Amino acid sequence: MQCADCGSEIASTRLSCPVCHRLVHREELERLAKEAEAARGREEPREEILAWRRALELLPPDSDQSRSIAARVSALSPVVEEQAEKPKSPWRWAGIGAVVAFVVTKGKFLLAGLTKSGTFLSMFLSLGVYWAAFGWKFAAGLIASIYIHEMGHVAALHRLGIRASAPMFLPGLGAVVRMHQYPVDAREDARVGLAGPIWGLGAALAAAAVFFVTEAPIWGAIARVGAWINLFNLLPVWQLDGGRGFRALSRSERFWITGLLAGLWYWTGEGLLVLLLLVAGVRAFGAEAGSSGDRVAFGQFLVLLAALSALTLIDVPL
Amino acid sequence: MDSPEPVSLRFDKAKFDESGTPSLSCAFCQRDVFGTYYEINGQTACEACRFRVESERTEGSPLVKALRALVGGGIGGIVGAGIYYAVSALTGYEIGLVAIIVGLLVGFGVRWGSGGVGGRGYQALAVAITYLAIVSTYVPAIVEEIRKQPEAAETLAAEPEIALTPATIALALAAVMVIAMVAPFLAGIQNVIGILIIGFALYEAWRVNAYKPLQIEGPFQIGARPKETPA
Repeated sequence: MQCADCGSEIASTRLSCPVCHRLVHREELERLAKEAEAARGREEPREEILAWRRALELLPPDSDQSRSIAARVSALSPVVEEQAEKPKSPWRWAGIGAVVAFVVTKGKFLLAGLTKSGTFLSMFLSLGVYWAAFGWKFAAGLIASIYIHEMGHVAALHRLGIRASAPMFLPGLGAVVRMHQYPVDAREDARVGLAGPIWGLGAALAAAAVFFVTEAPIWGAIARVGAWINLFNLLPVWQLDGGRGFRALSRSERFWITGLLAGLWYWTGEGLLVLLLLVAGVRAFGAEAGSSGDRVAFGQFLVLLAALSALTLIDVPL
Repeated sequence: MDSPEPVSLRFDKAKFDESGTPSLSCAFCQRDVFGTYYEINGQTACEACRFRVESERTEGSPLVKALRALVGGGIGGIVGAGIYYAVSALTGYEIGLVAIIVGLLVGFGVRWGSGGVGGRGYQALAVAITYLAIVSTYVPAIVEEIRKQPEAAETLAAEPEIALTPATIALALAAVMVIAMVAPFLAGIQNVIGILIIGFALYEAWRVNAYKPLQIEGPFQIGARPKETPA
């Protein structure tokens, strides 16, 4: 391809001319900017953020334009999130109606995930593998726990307007959701990362509730293993959920979490908490700790660790 | 609605901070590029680096590269086995993600040693080291099990003075390693998850050492090509 301005040849992987910096996707970027502006005029922040995220894909990441748009997306993100969480009617969340509405809304979302053939087929393949190893009841519970965890990520990504694939199961490993666009800041990353364990905790609590009512050991086993898997995902390292959540936390918040982990280990004796404690301790001293912190992510992390650790105490033969 | 400040931007040219437009620089030697440039696997290269990178692929003794790959992979395997054993001991579970880390450590060790060449031979080496690294973590449990066997206790009691020479130690270790190597398959379908977990590690080691051809694009002309003047 040849640059229309300076005549230099542009390699196919480039987003701008290496010499005069003319943007390769100039027309598309101008169209997206107009689309975003129009959405702003209509007071539709979700539409605006979608257009800007698409524009980010077409700009060199180190360019001023990319930085400006990322800042705009970062500023819009809490607005979009708030709007998505706002109830449409003040009465909607009252009493039992709140529970019914929650189950219906999230249930619909959960079922929607199953309409993707890749998710469905890989889920059945995983089910077969776990069935062979642990029997069908436990296999079904485990698959449901993993699926709900992944749909938590999908829900957060959807809420923030970040394009991503449907969950894909990997037998023996769990499942993955592949992002086609990326969070623009640590706050977004934390929301996406911690959403999985939050939904996973919901699944483990539901299984625990059935266990306490029916006393059927299988439900206790599903609750305990589900909690353990979510706890493992909270390891604050690499691209694990905990790693994403930890990015947003200040040094003092990280130390609080390390302290909580020590206490939880003392209480439960769960070996996994030693691993979490060691990694969190190292990360607390790390130079990359966020200066301002994130109270929401901090609160979510604390509650998740405490609740999931408590669920690992369910006494069932595994 | 409390909306943040809007963005007002031009999209004719990409702008790069206040220091002005950066010149085109080579991703390999960091020097400015003039005249023509190349793209090697998506990275900008000057003409000199284009030929240097290409020749590095073919130069050097294959034996030296293989030995370096063995050492690099071996170090990765020792570190990986340590991590895998520590996590298994702490949690009581074998975890797929940790197995992947072992595969990556060995894979990158082999790749580093081979000078990034890749190919079937290095892939096989990486897979073999990864497998040995993972199954070696079963050795303490196997030794413990052997010690618990009544026959072992009887043999030790009957022959209390078995000479511990380097040869007997090596023989014993080899025997235990053989048991460790077949251990994942002894439980059959019951251990399908364990076999899959090892499979992920082997796949990563294999994938990292796949032969990656140098994709060289160019030369690309910087600035308009000079118009040809009639003779």
